[in-house]
Amino acid sequence: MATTLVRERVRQDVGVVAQAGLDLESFFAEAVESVRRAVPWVSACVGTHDPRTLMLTSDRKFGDLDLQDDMHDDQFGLIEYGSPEPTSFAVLARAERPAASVHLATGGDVASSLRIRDYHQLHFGYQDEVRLMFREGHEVWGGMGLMRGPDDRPFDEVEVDFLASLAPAFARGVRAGLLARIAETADEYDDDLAGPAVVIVGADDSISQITGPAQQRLAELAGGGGLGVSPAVLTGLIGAARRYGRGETTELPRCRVRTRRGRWLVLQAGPLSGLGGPGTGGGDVVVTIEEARPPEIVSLVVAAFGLTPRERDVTQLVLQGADTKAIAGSLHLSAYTVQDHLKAIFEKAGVRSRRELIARIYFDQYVPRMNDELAPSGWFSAGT
Amino acid sequence: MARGLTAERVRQDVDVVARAGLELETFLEEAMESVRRAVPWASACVGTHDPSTHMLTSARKYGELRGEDELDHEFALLEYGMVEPTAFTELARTGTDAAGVHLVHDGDVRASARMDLFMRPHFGMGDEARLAFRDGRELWGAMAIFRDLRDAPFDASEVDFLASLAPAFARGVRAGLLSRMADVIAPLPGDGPAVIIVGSDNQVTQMTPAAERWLADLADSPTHSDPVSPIAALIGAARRYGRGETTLPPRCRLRTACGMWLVLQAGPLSSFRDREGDVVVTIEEARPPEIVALVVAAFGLTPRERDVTQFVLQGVDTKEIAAQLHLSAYTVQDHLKSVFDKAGVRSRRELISRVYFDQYVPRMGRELTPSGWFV
Repeated sequence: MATTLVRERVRQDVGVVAQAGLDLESFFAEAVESVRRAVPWVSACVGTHDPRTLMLTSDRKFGDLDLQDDMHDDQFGLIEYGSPEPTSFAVLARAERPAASVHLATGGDVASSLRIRDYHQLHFGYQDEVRLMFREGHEVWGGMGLMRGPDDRPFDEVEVDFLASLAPAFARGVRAGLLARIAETADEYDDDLAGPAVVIVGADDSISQITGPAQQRLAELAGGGGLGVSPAVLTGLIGAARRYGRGETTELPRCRVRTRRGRWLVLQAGPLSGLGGPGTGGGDVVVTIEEARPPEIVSLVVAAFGLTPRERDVTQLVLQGADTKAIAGSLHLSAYTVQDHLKAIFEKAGVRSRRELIARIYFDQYVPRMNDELAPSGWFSAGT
Repeated sequence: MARGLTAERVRQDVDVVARAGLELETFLEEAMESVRRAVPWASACVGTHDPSTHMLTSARKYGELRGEDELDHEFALLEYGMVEPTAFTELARTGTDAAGVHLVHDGDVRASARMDLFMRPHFGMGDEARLAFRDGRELWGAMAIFRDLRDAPFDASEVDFLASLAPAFARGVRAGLLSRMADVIAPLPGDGPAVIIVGSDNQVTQMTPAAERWLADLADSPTHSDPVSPIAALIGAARRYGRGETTLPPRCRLRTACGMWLVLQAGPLSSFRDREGDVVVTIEEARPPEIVALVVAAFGLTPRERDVTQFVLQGVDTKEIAAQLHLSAYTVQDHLKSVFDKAGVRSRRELISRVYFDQYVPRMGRELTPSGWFV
């Protein structure tokens, strides 16, 4: 049993690695191992979420699960997002305490959790799971689940409380990791990906039809070395679309994901209707993968900077090409105050000028194609 | 054919209306009636095209064909699903400004599948002449004019005369596109994926609610009174792509009534089941490079002006633009002045906004909120 001193040391340690400017994978590897000293686990699963929609955008596994293959990941997404329960990410994200254990939440009846019974027990023999949402303020940047096996005791209140206290540090680490990745420059546009990227999933939740560009996008997202986007991201969207189709939610699932090549994509899912209107589509769900548009990127990136509301106002006007005088006029501030805000924004974004800020926020993705002329042979003919 | 003086008067007249800053429908209406005085026609069809892909982006009809919309779907499938010398895509590919079917096929009009299978049996048309609205390298649309079976076919001098109108029509369409860009817009994208699934019989089998909403929005627009044609054109072209007859998956950029730029794409679906031959059409909100290329082309900028515009769009100041392009600051200012003039704006900020921010700015500063994507 970990002592108060161990917990305090781990808390400090996670705080330090969260601010060390590590890339996302290094941060998770260090922080999750550190947590293990205070809250022992046999397996850990860590995901990033789209803070707006709470959909999974990436996941990685540690401990025993790391040795397993990913063959059950598709079921995980369907259960997690298709059958919400008190310890589901989407529910826990809004809970007062951003951490919970299944054993404590179910009064010891862990099998009453579909996720435990039909997934963790069935496939891996795990008997309890504790979860932490990486929440800072109102924004949730990810979450993790720690597992214990049949011979281990379940997670206790002290451990759950301790994990909850780590939420802001984990959120900061994810935000910083996201920003480290934002600094990477997007690759040249891949012309091979022309055409609609569409996946159609039948009533049995398996893929029935797919376009060529969708196959390429999924391969690109799948990444290498288990660090990319797993099938759980896709099936999470499908599970949530089923809930929408059943009328259990009014929000269609979508999330923003960055590819390894630095491009922001938007994944969306929704039920297909036949000509007879809603409900006549034979249970088909469609998933589309599109390149993101500026507002979709800006809201995420600006949130990742952790700006104040005033700084967000100033940033918005900078993005519209307004100069300091115009910003001051629009916001009823003095030019000096605007300069002060700008300085703070530049510091948080790690840039030195307006131009760098604009580039950092979203132009990296588009600029290589901005000057392409209309060409007879293609959409954007590079190098004309 | 009215010779000499009439032809010259019509040419001048089309040129004048092309420069009058008219919105698209008014320009086309006026110009087509004017053309009729020099090259009589019974029916006419005019489409705008995406200059990059030559796909149809809007269509309207005049004369006997006005209001005859039931077969638009079939027409667009034929036009973009088959290749013949007078197809729009072939006129674009071969750099032909104008052509008559009778002339191209040495009097054997029925050698054209489009005439034989469609225009003749359905509408009793005897000949067709086409004009591509080409301006330099870029093609902004095209017209097809028809004569009845009892009328004389279009002759070579008429086709030549039409060809001489190509730049004026291109200018008029470009200007019409720009006049629409001043529209006030505050649109929100539809919720969820906008997807249309089409079966092997080219009929729609499935659709998402977002796709239905976009189609209704397109149908609302005066320039897309019939959103069926551009979509059927994409389907026809997707069939060709699926058969390996072209390496370009079809797509086009459209502007909705409320001013939102959309990208429509189509492509074949690979099936793991028994649903062979399905085609999927997606409707997405456009991204900056998709809009910028089109809008900047519509301004009619010189290559140097395009360079300067690109830097302005990235937030680069005059001094740095001058350094990057090895120009003096004065020369950059001169280019900028000319760009502002052509774009009809007075400042960099207005230029940025005109080119593409109008579409995004209303949503740009919104925070992440629990209750909506961009609230």
